[in-house]
Amino acid sequence: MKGAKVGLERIKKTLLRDKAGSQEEILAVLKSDVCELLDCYFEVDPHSLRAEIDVDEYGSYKISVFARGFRVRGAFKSG
Amino acid sequence: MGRCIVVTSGKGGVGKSTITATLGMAMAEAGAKVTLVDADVGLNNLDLVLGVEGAVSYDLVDVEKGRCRLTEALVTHPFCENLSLLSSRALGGANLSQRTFAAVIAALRRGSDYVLIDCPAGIDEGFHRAVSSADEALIVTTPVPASVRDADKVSDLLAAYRLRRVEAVVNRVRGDLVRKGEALGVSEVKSALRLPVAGSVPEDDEVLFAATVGRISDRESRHYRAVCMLASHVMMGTEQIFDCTARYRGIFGFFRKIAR
Repeated sequence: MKGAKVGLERIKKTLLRDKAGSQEEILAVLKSDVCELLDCYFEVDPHSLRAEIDVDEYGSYKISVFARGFRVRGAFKSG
Repeated sequence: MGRCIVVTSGKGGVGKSTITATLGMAMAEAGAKVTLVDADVGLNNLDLVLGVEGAVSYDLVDVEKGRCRLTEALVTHPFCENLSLLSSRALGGANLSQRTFAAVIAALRRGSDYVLIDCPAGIDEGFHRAVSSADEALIVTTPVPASVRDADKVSDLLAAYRLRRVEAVVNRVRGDLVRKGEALGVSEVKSALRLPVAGSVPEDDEVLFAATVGRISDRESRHYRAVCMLASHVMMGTEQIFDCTARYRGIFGFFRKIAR
């Protein structure tokens, strides 16, 4: 294999590993912020909150957040 | 109010100061009023790269301490009156505050079309001090994995500053090796970093010679022509970047590749 191809493969793998390894701190902050945001609109069960960050093969983050809400906050009622 | 662009890299030794100085010169020769700021307190070199080390009387730290006015600390380039430098110093500037630095940059922006900040290597306090005053960034990288990795980290850090524009500059591209498939080229670096590339600059012996004698690289050199294209991109948004492999195409290119 030519040097350029080897180099590119190495860089891409390294960057993916770096990105995958830097998520724990972000997750903690993300959960806290998302919980606060959702709480403006719903009564949220704080224990139900799950957040995950995956890195795809192109180095993009896939962010999924799951939360269970009991009811919509009253501010959205018409009238 | 002039634009403020920080030239950063993460990794040291990739040619940040040389790119900053040459880019400043190219922009100044194109008619813009450019001020270069050496933000690398403790490891300052921009004065040497420009060949004005003997003309520096005051520096950034003297401005901070109130020992001189900002205008007194600026050194105008002897061959280009549009280009000036605010130097830094080797010792005694460790406590330079972010607030003071920002105030100096704001003052310089009022009197310049462009302020180019030569950011220190690394990602510690000096990096954040330099970046926090800028509204655009150029990340200089070389086409080797270690440099690209650090550029990626820097690009992640810059995302927190919500700069208006963040682009990469691929420096020291070996066109002959890229043509042979033995070294990374601009397209590979771009695909790994997933950043727009503002310019590519070839490896050129002229840079070493110019740095040794203390001047900007020769106007006819490939290095300077590549940086001029980068300057056009920065100033006018032109999309063309220097093709470092062009020299190694065709029958003459074949012989040049062999000769290297």
